[in-house]
Amino acid sequence: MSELEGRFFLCKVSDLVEGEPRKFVVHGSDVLLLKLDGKIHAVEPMCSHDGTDISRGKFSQHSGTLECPKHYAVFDVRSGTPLRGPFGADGDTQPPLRVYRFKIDSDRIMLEANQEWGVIPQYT
Amino acid sequence: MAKRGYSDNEPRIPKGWVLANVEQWPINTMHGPGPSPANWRFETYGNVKNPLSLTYDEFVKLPFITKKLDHHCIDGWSYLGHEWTGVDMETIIQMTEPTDEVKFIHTEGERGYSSTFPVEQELLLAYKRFGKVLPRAGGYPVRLVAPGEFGYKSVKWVERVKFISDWEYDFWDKKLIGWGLPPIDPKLNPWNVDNAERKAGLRQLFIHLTEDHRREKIALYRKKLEASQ
Repeated sequence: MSELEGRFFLCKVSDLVEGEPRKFVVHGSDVLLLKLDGKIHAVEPMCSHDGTDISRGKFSQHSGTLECPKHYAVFDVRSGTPLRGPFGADGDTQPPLRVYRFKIDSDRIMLEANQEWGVIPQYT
Repeated sequence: MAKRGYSDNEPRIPKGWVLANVEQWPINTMHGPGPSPANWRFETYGNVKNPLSLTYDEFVKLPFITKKLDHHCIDGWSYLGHEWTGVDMETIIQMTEPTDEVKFIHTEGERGYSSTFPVEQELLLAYKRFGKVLPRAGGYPVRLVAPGEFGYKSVKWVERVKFISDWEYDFWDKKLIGWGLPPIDPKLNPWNVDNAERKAGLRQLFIHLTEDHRREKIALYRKKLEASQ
């Protein structure tokens, strides 16, 4: 089995623009790719407070955070760590965002996913 | 002695809470709202001598009260000094005449949301905030306001009130039990909560809730995929 079997092609690294998150749907799961200081991060854009899609939330390149547009919880996109809960409450009640595993094959971003299991998270 | 939820309560903000960092009314709409109801009625049923079924126009003509109350969300934020106008639950109790065995009331909103209280608890069925009709997301036509309780107890989009003799699990109790977690202690409120326990409990709840959202999303995707094939 080749190293890239079971992986899902999302886009090319060169297609991603710093500060402009891109959302993909892989077997029904949302995947958000973000480029931050030249490094790529893949997270599930689902607020762990109430399931809101945060892919259109406020993304701060300066702090590497994504803010939920509904109740303003804030997450670190590099680790998925919740930094703030809804309306400024402590973030430690929230589970982290799911961070997804991927590999870069020359310029291609390949996400670990399969039909049966969907997208494979790095932390569960 | 000052009552929980009122502005003269000391301390006014529960330990570990923050003031919501927003300029406008923070609204947590985790369970709705659904489409605006065309034929909304306020109903009472269960162990009552006189079941009520009122239209919105009839409801807002009932004797009303106005109260200034603080809101404390279980997520850990507070918003102080909402001015609510609505019908005191005591007025509804007098109109619907529960039988002697009634000990609890089960308030029911849209999409199966509910919360249970002792029948003697102070509750307000609000239809205005600061003199203005509620927005849909804020609970229009009528929402419950339960002073001194966590915000999730204040059911929005109230449709029915059931009068019962035995304690009945409400929406969140049933969710927690379904996930294999214990139901909520009925005495739990912002002023007696152990903050570490609250956070650990919430974290568990959110893990299950997120997993449910994930499952629903994938099921919907598969359904759409099948329909398109």
